[in-house]
Amino acid sequence: MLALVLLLPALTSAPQDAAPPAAPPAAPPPAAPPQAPPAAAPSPVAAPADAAALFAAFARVEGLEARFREEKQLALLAAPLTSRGRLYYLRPGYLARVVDEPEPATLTITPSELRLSGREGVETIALDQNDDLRAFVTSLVRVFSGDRAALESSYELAYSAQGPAWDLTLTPRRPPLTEMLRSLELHGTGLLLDRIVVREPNGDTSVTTIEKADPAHRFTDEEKAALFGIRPR
Amino acid sequence: MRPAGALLLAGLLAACASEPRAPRFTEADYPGLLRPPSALGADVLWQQRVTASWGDERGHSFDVAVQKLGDTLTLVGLSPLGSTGFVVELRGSTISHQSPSGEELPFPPRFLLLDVERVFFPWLPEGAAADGERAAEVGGERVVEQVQGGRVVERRFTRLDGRPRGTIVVRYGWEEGDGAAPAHAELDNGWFGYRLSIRTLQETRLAPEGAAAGGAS
Repeated sequence: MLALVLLLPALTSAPQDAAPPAAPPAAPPPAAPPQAPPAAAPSPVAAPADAAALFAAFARVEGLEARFREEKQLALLAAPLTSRGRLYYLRPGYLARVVDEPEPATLTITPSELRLSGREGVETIALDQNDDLRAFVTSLVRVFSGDRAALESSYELAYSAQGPAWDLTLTPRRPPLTEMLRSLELHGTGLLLDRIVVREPNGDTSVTTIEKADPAHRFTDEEKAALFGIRPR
Repeated sequence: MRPAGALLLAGLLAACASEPRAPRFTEADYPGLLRPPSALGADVLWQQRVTASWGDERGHSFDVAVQKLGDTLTLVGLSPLGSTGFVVELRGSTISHQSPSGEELPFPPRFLLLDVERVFFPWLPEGAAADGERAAEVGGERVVEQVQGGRVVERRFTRLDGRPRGTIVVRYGWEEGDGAAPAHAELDNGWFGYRLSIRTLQETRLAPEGAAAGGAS
């Protein structure tokens, strides 16, 4: 699920003597002919009938590229922190959030690690070394891959639709998710995701607006290597 | 159980402080004049990336939001996942500190405020801002500034009593279009041997308290 990943804001860190990060594509490459899964087919009129239909649509997405703009409003700050960038998802469990502004940086989630890269270098965090972190990241991937059953073990799901517009709200059931997240709201039109709102327990809120998306994106081997660290066999 | 993102930031900060050559500080170790936030003048919000390092050890970076609004200076350290890792606030002369991670900072929060003020606050009368060197004694320290093109390009702090010995040097890298903060600043703390490299990613001028925020530069 797009949601939290899009909201994972400002990256940090990198040992200064670390190897430079593999440069993500400067711009999205031309999309290959889409093998349009039902989820990818733009449908400006019909919202999924229910949450099951929405997750089924998510589950059929093989690859996605989207441009986003994020505003993070911290309760203590008088103005939002803003960023723009691109999001890439590759089934079954690869996510890359590439921030272009205000400072280039990339956060990559693979099945085994979280990788932070920026001007300062690269820092890799093994997901098997931190139970809290692994639980958090795993939940993101499960949402994105449309694993509703796994999600419902961690979240209460509430879905509503009116005309083409739909809203899905995920509310954590128990710690540690309740300590990280008050709710996660996805708002869409038809089968497209328009906006994601993350509300944190302390009142901080992040709003990510999807400005352009290609839900039928086909990654080249070069992109897979640059974005996700996947080497061709 | 603690938020994972906050744990990450705490880990990064702890990593900084646990480098072999990194000293352990107590409140009394770092003298300096903590000035009221209103001394900065403009109300502003900065998004910054800070890289901290000791000696020749590798640096660790984290993002921070620095806000000066009225007589309050707020520092919010952000985790790699974007959640709040720590909050240090100076309201007038009162310091408060929150750490959602439950992890203590590896140094007293006053130190963060002191370094922010040393780098970004004005220390000497602006005057005619003539290029060249200007100096004064402030709060038991000799402060020397080098000015070029009307901008401070270097600032040095030396204790008059020699305790600690050495000099804190701040160098500024101004770029066209910079606002109240330079694109890059580097604090080399010769008292304790650590360095902070601070890049200001975005600056937002704030309207006075009670009014709407202004635009970003």
